[in-house]
Amino acid sequence: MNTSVSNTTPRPPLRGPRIQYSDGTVVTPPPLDVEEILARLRLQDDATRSVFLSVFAHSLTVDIRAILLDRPVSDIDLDRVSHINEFLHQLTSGVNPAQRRSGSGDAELVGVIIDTSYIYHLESAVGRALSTAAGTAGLLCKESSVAQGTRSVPSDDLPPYSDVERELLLLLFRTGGERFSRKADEVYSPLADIFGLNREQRSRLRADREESLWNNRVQWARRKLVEGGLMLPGPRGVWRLTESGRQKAELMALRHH
Amino acid sequence: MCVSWANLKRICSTTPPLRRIHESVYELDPDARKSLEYQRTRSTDAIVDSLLPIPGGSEHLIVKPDGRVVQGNTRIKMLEERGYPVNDLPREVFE
Repeated sequence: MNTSVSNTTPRPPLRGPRIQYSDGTVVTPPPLDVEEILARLRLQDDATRSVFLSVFAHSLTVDIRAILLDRPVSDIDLDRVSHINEFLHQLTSGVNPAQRRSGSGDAELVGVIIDTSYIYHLESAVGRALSTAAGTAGLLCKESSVAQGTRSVPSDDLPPYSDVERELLLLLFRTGGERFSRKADEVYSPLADIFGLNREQRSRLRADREESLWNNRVQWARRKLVEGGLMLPGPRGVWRLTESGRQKAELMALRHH
Repeated sequence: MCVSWANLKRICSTTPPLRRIHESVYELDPDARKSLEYQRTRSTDAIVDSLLPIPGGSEHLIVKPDGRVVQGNTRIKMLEERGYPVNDLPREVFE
């Protein structure tokens, strides 16, 4: 990675997107571990690296769309669009099967784009693109998972019940709509995403029966919340917060941020 | 007067309501129409999940500070048509 810029000028760290919740609270993620992400990218297979580059490029198109929304466009913003387009040119060329690079080559390309972003004050755009692409390709390391507003998996592999309970409560509060409710079948996967579980952790079966260990852990967390009066016991297949659960989740959400 | 929690939450909210930016594109652009048709086939929860800023979700909701939707227009349109409270969704504010 070309570090000529960083050698002469202190560079602000790259971060993922800042997220605002409907209560107005804003979560600013901690810095991304760029070197770690690039090191992991080098080791991925060709398909995963192509996904990374494609998602990286797609995220940058969002910046162009946002810049061009407000007309007339200033010369400064047109310059930004021009530089982003150069990034896109390189990235989309990089996913052309006839132009594919090695893992090191892909990591070097991304590294050069990161370096260049500091020259043209595009580090916010590139930070979001890097965070999004790394998340999609499963390259986020421990610190970066937190950066996405998520928690890492502890050493016992799957997250403890208490953490699952808390995140289940928050998930229903934030995404359950007016009734703070979700279908049971559609809770497992978003919760697994929040904890950054890999494919094996999601599909692992219990030792004693053909049942997903992760789903079972979530169901136990839900049962404890029902017993605590924070979730309703029914109807079957629908998981919903009680008023107490809603109040607790709201307090947790405020503290969490 | 009784104010429901949902309404109170909306009244007290500090985030501006979402505004979709390209309504007419669905009539003019075949690709946009295809996208709209595709989103119609998806469940509400699947669309909501796709808008959340979580690892592995590459196209989360992004808005301008005034609420104009930069990413997620078609999905927000779908949710609005189904009566989902889209303004409660977490969002990245593009500054």
